[in-house]
Parts: sequence; structure tokens; C-alpha cells
Amino acid sequence: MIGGNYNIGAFLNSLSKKTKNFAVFNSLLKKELCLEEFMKTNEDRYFDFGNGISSMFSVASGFSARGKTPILFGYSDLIISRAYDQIRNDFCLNNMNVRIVGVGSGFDNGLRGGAHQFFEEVGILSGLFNMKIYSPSSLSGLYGLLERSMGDFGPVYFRLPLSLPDELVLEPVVFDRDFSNEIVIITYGKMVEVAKEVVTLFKEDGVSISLLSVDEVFPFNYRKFQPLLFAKNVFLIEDQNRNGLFSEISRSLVLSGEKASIHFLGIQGRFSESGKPLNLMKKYELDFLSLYGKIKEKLV
Amino acid sequence: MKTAELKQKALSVRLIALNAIQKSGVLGVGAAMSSVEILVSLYFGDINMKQVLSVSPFKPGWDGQDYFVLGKGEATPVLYAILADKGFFDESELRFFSQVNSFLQARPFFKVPGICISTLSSSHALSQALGIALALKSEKKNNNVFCMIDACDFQNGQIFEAMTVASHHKLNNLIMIVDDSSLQSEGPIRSVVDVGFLQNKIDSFGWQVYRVVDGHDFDEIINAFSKSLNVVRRPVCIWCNTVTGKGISLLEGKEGYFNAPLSENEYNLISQSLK
Repeated sequence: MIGGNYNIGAFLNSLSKKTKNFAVFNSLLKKELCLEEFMKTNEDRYFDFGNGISSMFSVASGFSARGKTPILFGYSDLIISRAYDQIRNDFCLNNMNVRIVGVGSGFDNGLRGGAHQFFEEVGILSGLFNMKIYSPSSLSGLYGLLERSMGDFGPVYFRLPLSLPDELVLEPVVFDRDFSNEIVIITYGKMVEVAKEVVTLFKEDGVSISLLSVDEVFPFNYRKFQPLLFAKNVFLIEDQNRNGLFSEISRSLVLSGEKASIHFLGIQGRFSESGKPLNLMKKYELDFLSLYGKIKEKLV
Repeated sequence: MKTAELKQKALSVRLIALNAIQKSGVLGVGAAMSSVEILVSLYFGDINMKQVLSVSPFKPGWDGQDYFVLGKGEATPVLYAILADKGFFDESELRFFSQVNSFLQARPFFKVPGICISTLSSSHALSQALGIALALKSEKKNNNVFCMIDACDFQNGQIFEAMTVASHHKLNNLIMIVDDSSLQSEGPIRSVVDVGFLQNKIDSFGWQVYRVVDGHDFDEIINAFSKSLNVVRRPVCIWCNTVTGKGISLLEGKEGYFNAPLSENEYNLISQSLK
């Protein structure tokens, strides 16, 4: 075990009571995700591929051609790097109905070194037509998105760290109001939990601040989130923002011709290295205290 | 269909495919021609009065249909010529093969009637066919899934991944046909990257292998199909030795035409000889 807290097997069992039209394809995550629970009761819908990642993806496209929705589980660094060809040609070009769950994104895989810390998926996959990218911030969020996505069509990628909080209750953001005198923090996935602590610190200081968790990262819903981008102080936090949501927001702004002043906080232009996740986050100033300090520094 | 009729069918398919290739400017006429007899046997051949490949343009998606996944991309115009002949779409569409706004893309595309899945990358095709076969097995169905690849595709590791998985799941409804003309676009396979004598290797993966010594002999090909449909608990490989440019004397066995265009003169000479 690598310390994750997922029990996706139990969720899949409950999902299978609602829809029979999916199958589970797994690469190396049976124990980590407790998939055995699903495997035992769904032998005809559970398939292990071990290290055979490239074939797992192409096989999934064949499965999907039979009108089924395969849900693929694998380590994010391995599956996206190795199977880009299959994702592009077998899934996206055919607009195949598949769900890819990449586990271990971001700093969580720190102890396995720079090669296994994967930050680039949003940048890589957002270049593919038909692809959607979701990055939930809690397990309940993941289950909700996965279940809802079964009604969607086309490929969807779920970006997951090694562990997520079971629940993450956030103050709902009301969009149709004036944000011009506020601090707005925009983030997704694992960073939401960190940002929530930053928000608590600012609220203790009596500062007006909103936290927006963007679960559906790509395509970025610019029209929906636009009012927040024009707040007095906007901060986008992501573990790596060279070509993640950073690019999406920048592109949307350029296309709209609108100008916004946004601070981007996250690793820029380099790979990470070995270390405990919390220590790495401190080094790259993405722990809640560093973020709190950096945001304070930049406030207008 | 009797052998004489299959030969006639092959002749017309060859001519239609040649015209489509020439008009579009797509490369690979030699490579395409080596597959004609295999594909004609698959789509028009029968075993005990039953079609080898059960497909019908009038019943798309019907429960009893078989599946064909084409991995050898150069054979796409041959497949389209056959699908047009079977009535999946009008033959006149082939005039626009691989041209802008044509639905007949250069490689098999799922929007074309009769194509069950796009195979834009040849080394993925076996895995994709395996996915369909696995889905059918999980539904407790016995429909067959045929897949044709080129011998040079064995230079790609994904084929071996797929062979391992197919054998693990004992998918006897998966039949891989290998078109081995011993050539690839850069020259003889053995001089590019020699894949060795693969039939023994494939057997060692747990597959049943049948060898077709003359991949242009209808009786031999259909006999191999017949045997393959009776295999139990093993995926099947039908290894066909073929000749590049087969059926066109100017091109037969010639390395230079595997992936090269024809001049206008060559085309005129050849098309006259096929009529």
C-alpha cells in the first residue's frame, strides 16, 4: 500500500446497482483502490492489465465500440506518458466513451522521485479535442463526478492525487455579485484543501475572500467564472501552472479581449524531485502558510 | 461463393481499389494488392453455406454480426471497395477516397458504414479487436472478431501485449490474420528489423497458429478460416504468405512499389490489363 485512502471498489459496487453498462480496466491499482471488492462480485466486468498499459487503452476503445463505458485506473504518470498515442487516436479521435482515472498526480508521489510526480496532465490532455478533464477535491466529489459522467459522452480524464479528504465543505460561491473588492482564490484538486486553510487565515484577519474549486478543469467554463477573474486580487493556485488551468484562463482572456490581473502560484518551468509531499510543498511555497504569506505580499 | 467467382470478385475489387488509390494520390498500391484475396475470402467466402464474416449492410449492429478490424492501413481502399460491393455505401464514393470532405478517410474510420472502429494507428488494431472480443465474451456471446495486421507490425511491442492478454482470457473468438509480404515501406522486413520466424513465437504465447503458404489461394485461405472457427479456448493466428503488388504483373514482388505511387503511364497500362 502506498498510503492512499480510496475505497473505489465499494463505490463501483454501488454504481453497478444503478448501471450495468460499464467495466473496470485496471493497471497496478487493485490493492490501492480496493478494487478487489468490485472484482469479486463482477468478474465479467473487471479486467487486470498489469504493466500492459498501451494495450489496456486500445482494448478499452474496442470495448467502448460495443457500447460500453470502460473505466480505466492507473498511475497518472505511467498512463498519460505511455498511452498518449492511444488516448489521442483510439479515444479522442473516435470520441470514445471512456473514463480514465489517473492516480498519484502532483506532489503526492514525492517519495518516488521526480519521474513519478506528474503535473502535466492538464496541459497534455487539454490539447486533445473531445477530452474533458475533471479534478475533484474530495472523495465524495470524485464519486459524484464519476457517477454523473456515466451519462456523458466522450472521453473524460479524472486527475487524482494519492489521497483526498472524504468530504470538503466549501462556502458556496454566488456568481452574480460584485467581486471587485475581494480576494478570490481559484484552484482545483488537492490544492483546494490547502487553499481552504489559507482562506481560514484570511477570514481570521477579517478579510473578504472567496475560494472557487474548479472541479471541471477543462474545458474551462470562462463565461461562468468570468466575474471572479475581475476581482481586485485574483490568485490561481495549482501545483504546476506552466500549462495547466493557467493556460486555459490566459487563452480565454486573450480570446475575449478582456484584461484581468491574476497572480499565478505554482511550480513554473521545472520538474520536481524526491521528498515527502509536505516538504516538497514547503520548498515550492505551496503549503498553506507560504501561500498565505505570498498572497499577503501581493495584495493590492 | 465458388472459387471461380471469388477470383472474379478479386479482379473487380483490385481494379476499384487501384482507381481509388491512383485518383487520391495515396501511397501503398503494392501493399494494398497483397491483401485482396484475404479480404475477398473473408467478406465473400463461405464455410458450409455460411459467410466467413457475418455482416450485413441491411442490419447494422445486429446481434449476430461478426467484426473486422483492419490494422494494415494500406489495405483500406481494398476494404472500401469490398464494402461498396457489399452495399454498405455507393461505389461512386470511392472516387473521393481520401479527399477533402470525403467520408472515406485514408485509414478505416468509424463513420464509414461497415467500419466498427477507427484504426488510425496500425499497432493498436489487435488490441482494439481484442477489446471487442473481450466485450462479446463478457456478454456470453460467440460472435467472431477478425483483425488483419501486417507482419511488420510485430516490430511494435503493443502487439505482444495484446497477444498476452488475448491468451490470458482464452479468446477463441479473436482471429488475427497476418499479411506477410516480407516487405515494409523501408524495404524487406528482415533488413529493417528482422522479426524472426514468428509463427513459433506466436504459438508460444498460447495462440493457435495456421499457416497459409499461398495467401492468394482462396481454397487455402478459406480452409484456414474454417479451422480457426473450431478452435477452443485459444486465440487464433492465420499467417498468410503474400506477394506485394499481387495480381498486377508490373508490381508483383517488387519492393519499389510497396509504398510508391504509379506514374500515369503505369496506371493506364495496369488498369487496361485488369479489365
